[in-house]
Amino acid sequence: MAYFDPIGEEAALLRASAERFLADHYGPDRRLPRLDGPPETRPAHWQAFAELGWLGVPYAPDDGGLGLDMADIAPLMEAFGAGLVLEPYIPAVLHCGSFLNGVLRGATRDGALGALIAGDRIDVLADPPAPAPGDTAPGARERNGSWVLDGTLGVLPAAPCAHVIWVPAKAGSDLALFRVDAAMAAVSALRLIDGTTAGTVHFDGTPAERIDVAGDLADAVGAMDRLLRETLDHVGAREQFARPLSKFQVVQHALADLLVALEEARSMAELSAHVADEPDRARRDALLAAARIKVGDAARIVAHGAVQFHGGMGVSDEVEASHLAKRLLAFDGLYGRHDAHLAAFMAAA
Amino acid sequence: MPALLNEPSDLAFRETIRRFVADTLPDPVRQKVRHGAPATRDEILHWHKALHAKGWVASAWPEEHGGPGWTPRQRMIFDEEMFRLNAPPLPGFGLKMIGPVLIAFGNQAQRERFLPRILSGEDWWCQGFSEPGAGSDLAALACAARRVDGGWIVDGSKTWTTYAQHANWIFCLVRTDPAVKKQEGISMMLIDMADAGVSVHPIKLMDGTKEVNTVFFDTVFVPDDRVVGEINKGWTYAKFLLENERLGIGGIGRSKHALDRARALAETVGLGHDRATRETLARIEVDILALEATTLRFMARERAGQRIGPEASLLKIRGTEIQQRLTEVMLGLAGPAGLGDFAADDERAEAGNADHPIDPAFRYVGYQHLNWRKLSIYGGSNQIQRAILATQVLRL
Repeated sequence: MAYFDPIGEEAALLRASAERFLADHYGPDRRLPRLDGPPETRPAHWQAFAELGWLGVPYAPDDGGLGLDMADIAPLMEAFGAGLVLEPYIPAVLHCGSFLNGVLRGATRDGALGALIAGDRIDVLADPPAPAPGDTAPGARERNGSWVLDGTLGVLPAAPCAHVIWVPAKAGSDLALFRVDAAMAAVSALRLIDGTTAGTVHFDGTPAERIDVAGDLADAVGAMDRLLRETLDHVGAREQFARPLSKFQVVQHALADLLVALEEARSMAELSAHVADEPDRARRDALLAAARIKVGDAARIVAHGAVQFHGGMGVSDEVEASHLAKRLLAFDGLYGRHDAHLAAFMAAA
Repeated sequence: MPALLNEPSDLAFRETIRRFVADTLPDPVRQKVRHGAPATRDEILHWHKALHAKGWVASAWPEEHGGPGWTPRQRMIFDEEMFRLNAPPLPGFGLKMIGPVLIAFGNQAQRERFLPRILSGEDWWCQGFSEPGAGSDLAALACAARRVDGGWIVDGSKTWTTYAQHANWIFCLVRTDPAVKKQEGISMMLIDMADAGVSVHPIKLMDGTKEVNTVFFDTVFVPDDRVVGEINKGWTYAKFLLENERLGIGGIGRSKHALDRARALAETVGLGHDRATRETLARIEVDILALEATTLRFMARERAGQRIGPEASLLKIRGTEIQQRLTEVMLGLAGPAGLGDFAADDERAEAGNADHPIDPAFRYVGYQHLNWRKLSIYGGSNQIQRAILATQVLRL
């Protein structure tokens, strides 16, 4: 796609609908009374935003959303800016919604996205766009077999509007995602100079539910799958000793082993998505750790095997195989972490 | 170990199986199997008959032929529980091999004659596929039949024939047309081991036992009604036989049983809390989980109407690697106590010359390590399985 294409039909319709709605419901006579009251914790037009489809903008049609990309959303956002919209669209939908869209899987995903798109719930992400002085990043610890959070965020946009605060926090050596019922956190409301609502959030032994973000496993499986296919193409096309590499039995058997690693990794990545909401925590933690071990191992096996069978091409920057291999090695280094996950598995299994 | 099949209905089904086994399986047999000892013919038959009386012996057969009508998921649970509860594994030659072939391709008379006797344990079948000159290249088999009035005369030999010493029937692949492409001139025949011209010669194995044999056929007459299906279609039936119930070839139940035994052995030798040992076993447990998850994923694809064919080879490769690895770990745990020659030991004890000098917890460890070398060789060696993945899945 070229840059600076004229906006598409859908984006134009969205903008037109926003302009009509804002003309009817905004304007100084409507805005100033809203600003006379305390910071809004129940945005006046949120339900109307839902009915107009705006809350579903970043999500895929399968999730009940519109599946638009940023270029399609931009005209809508311009209308919001021009209309001085007070609803927390940016923190709740663009920031938190897009984040959840990327990471949630399974029943957690279905439960969260449906309510957000319907406007029944407003969620925010405890990851402020800019840190405030005195912020202490939230950390998680276990208390009596469940998780609690500690930490302070001085200025978190839309926090007082939130039903759920999603908190990325350190849990031991892991960075994990936690779901906090906003009513359980100490949130004090403040109004920013643009009229929007923000809040100071204190977590002090606040109960939280740990949400496993297993989407990275699927990312690795996708990279492995593509890397194996690239490798098959290469060995089918590349001839040495007057025949394709794919006809050498030693190559065939080694590629069969890469397939085995990939298939096992795929099974475990899918399993991890199925058990993400498992109520039996020990069982869930064991299976998630097992999934990370297998996918991490497979990532290394496929990355190294693919580079090897690409020969000299495999170590060149020019072929995508080397880039896929590096993505897999980075995945393994960041998220695979065999030893830590094996320890977690042994603790939980 | 976290169970993947733990829906309430799964747990209820497990409980039914547990109760039956607790009431039915004799304790001495349970102890033997727990220690990895081979069960005797009588022990196997006794258990076969107990399962038959319950209606469970042919877990994968259609109900109309005497199966229990279980789903693939229930069969997987049944298999797992049988291993977990230390039931002696039943040989598959009748129940899993020739039985399903006769159900699919046999004529009415053959089904009526043979299927009930497989179920009851009255017939003990063995498999006549491999030959001295036809192993991985099975279609190169030379055992041949020539046409005579009313049937065929078979001459040749079969080898690596497991339990031929116990069997009264053998199903054989024989060459009935030497002139055509090698796969197209093979037929499947059912031969009575008591027929004139059939002789069985035991082969002593590296594990000290004699569970396999060479079977010779010297002008053996096979009447027409003992030919399965059509003449020269034997290769098709053999492929059906090898691909039947392929999602079970990962041997998840067997692997979990071996893992339990390795853990128990670690406890026995005082390494139950040893970090390195626990890590080694946990790593294998993760491998078993991944294989089980893959089996379930394939099963789900079959439920959705997709056929799982050559992909199943990966289950065999990984399953046998896991099982062999576990026997290695057990051998390491047992140390010198695992190096006894239990078969020779047994022979001496039977002759009244010695008591068993080694604790039963260790006595069969070396035997099993050696015996299970076969896992990656039989039923299509792991090299053949890799070739199947490479050529039929990856299309190389």
